[in-house]
Amino acid sequence: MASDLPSEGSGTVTDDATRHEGGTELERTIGLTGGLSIGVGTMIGAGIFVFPGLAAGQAGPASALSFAIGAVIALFVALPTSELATAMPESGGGYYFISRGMGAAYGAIVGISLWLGLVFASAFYLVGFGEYAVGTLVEAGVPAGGGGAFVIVVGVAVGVGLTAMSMTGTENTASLQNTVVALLLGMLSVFLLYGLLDSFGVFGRETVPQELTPEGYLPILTTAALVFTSYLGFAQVATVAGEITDPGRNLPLAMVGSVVLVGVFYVLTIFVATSALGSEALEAAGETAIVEVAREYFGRPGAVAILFAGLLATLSSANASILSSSRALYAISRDRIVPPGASKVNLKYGTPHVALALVGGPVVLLVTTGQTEILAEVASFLHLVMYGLICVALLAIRREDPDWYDPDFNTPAYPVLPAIGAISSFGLIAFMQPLSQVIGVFVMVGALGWYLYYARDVSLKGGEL
Amino acid sequence: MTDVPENRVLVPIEVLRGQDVPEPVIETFSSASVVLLGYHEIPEQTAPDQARMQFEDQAQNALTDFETAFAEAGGDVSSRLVFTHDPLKTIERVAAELECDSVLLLNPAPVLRQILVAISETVNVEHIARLVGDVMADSDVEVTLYHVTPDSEERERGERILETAAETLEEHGIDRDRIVKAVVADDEPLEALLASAENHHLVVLGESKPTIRERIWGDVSETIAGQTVNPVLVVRRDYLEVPEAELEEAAGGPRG
Repeated sequence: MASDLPSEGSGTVTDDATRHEGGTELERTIGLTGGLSIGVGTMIGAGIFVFPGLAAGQAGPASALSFAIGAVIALFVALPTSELATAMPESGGGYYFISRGMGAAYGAIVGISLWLGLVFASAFYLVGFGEYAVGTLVEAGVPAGGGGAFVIVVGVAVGVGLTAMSMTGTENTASLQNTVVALLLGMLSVFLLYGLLDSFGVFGRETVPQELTPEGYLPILTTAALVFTSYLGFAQVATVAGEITDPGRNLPLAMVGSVVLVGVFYVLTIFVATSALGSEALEAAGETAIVEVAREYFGRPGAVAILFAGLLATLSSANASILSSSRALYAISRDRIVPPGASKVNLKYGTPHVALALVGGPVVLLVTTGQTEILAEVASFLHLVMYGLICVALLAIRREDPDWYDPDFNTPAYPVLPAIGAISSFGLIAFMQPLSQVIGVFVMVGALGWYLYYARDVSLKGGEL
Repeated sequence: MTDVPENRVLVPIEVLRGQDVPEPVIETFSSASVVLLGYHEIPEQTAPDQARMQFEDQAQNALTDFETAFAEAGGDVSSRLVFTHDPLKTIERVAAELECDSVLLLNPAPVLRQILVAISETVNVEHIARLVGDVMADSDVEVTLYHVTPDSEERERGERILETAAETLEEHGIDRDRIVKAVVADDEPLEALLASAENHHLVVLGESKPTIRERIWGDVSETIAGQTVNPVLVVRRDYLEVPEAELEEAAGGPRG
């Protein structure tokens, strides 16, 4: 199990700890359940509670296929990521693999993109949370005057609140996260099971008959590009790879497992939703379309339950993304790609307050745009670039085959699978809205500019550090 | 498992929170093999490596000071430094890895003259007694062997268990006049133990087997360590197991 890793920041890896040269140990404390909960908890907020209305509006019932395409691409990336993570079970995830496999320039672009990609994702979840808050008020009979403005106010307030809590809170929230995820999966299972039985006519009710692809085939792909944000969570498992127990086993299981689990839930949700209400009604209901589906089946109690679940899910996803983003920032500041002060930890709370502020600030700023689709797509864009490069990094490292590279998990169907993973990740970007593409490219060019200005002399590839 | 040649005590120290090892504890435990486990608990928001980079030197220095103090008192001492989200997991892992048979949970102890050894009927009495004997033989501490029974009719069995413990203590260098035996009948064993602990300077007890209730509400030994003002020496579960037959014999025949 012991292997020499390529950077000075690493040490001897055992199932329960990492031991550094001076003898100092870092305990591994996240088990398989915790890992799955990070993955599922980050993802489930988007695919079920925000996207069904938007997706059905674009591609009709075939948007289930869009989610399936997303799941397959995510899986093609999750497998190579698992291999790299078991060989380098270190904080930083995708950034770490790419910087070690392909050098500091790629690392800097990916690292900065990962930080900001998660900032976009967090903002997206917070807008989603705002939509659910408004939905809850409307349900409670409070006229939510100003709708959109109120969504933004709530999103900003919660964004500030979550950031402040992360800076000062020392209670362990992991067990809470596990409970939330279990609760959500339980509620969704009941809901989907009933919906599926109904869709197949068990309850004798007429489903809404409609064409599978009312908008043609192209929207299936553009919708896949839009909803890919629903699959960003598995890479977050890799960002805490340094804290996962028995990484050789638990990392692949948590990453692949969470993708498969949420993928199945997403596809079934879209299927049930489009059968219950039809695409047009879903589109009209927008971000909270799933609430209307629940109302159709279970009346008001169902709508209330799903509103509650939506609040929980978007909050959990936003929180997980903010924390992951701060981890990403730590990883690049450890390697001096950004000033080391960015990951400073304060002794009183033990939290990385600078990094959290550098995440929370931009998140709140982005929430004020209120642009769900653009936020989601830019987040996906920046992640997809990283995913593609993870696959390329795997190909590069395997070709070089350095001494320290000794993964516990091997990607099946090598090199075909990582090659498809890379091509499909980059390919999906082409189907996004032009504005998202422009913003994404802008962020990456900015990252490259920063690298040339600040971190040109940093060398990370292999054992060079 | 019961024939471990030497006793090794794990002493967890929350090294960056100013936790101190009392002087009397250092003196008393210099007769045992001691592993100092310096740890720093970090919240989930922080990567362990992030905290390590910033605090490693400071933590290592503090730990080295304690190590030197034990070494100067003539102790056989070594140390480990761990950054962790979960100190309990770390303590259990390191204790198992280094084959420590007991864990000393620190609390202030201005003096260390009277210790309370809680003995229940389901644990390996001899291991506890041998450990106490070996550690305390060179000191002049007075040992109170303590057994709580919910039912006063079982008092006799309690006496028998404590006598076994006393004999073992004697074999390991504690004179009879330093041993006090106390069997107490009380419905609330935990409360009774906590009350008695107030008159002592150190509590020794066996780590209880986690019943379902304890899994939920926390282990008894942790509860006690949290509620007394004394240091608590917890003898680890692995070293307390006794074969069924022996258990019945010690308890004076099979129970209904």
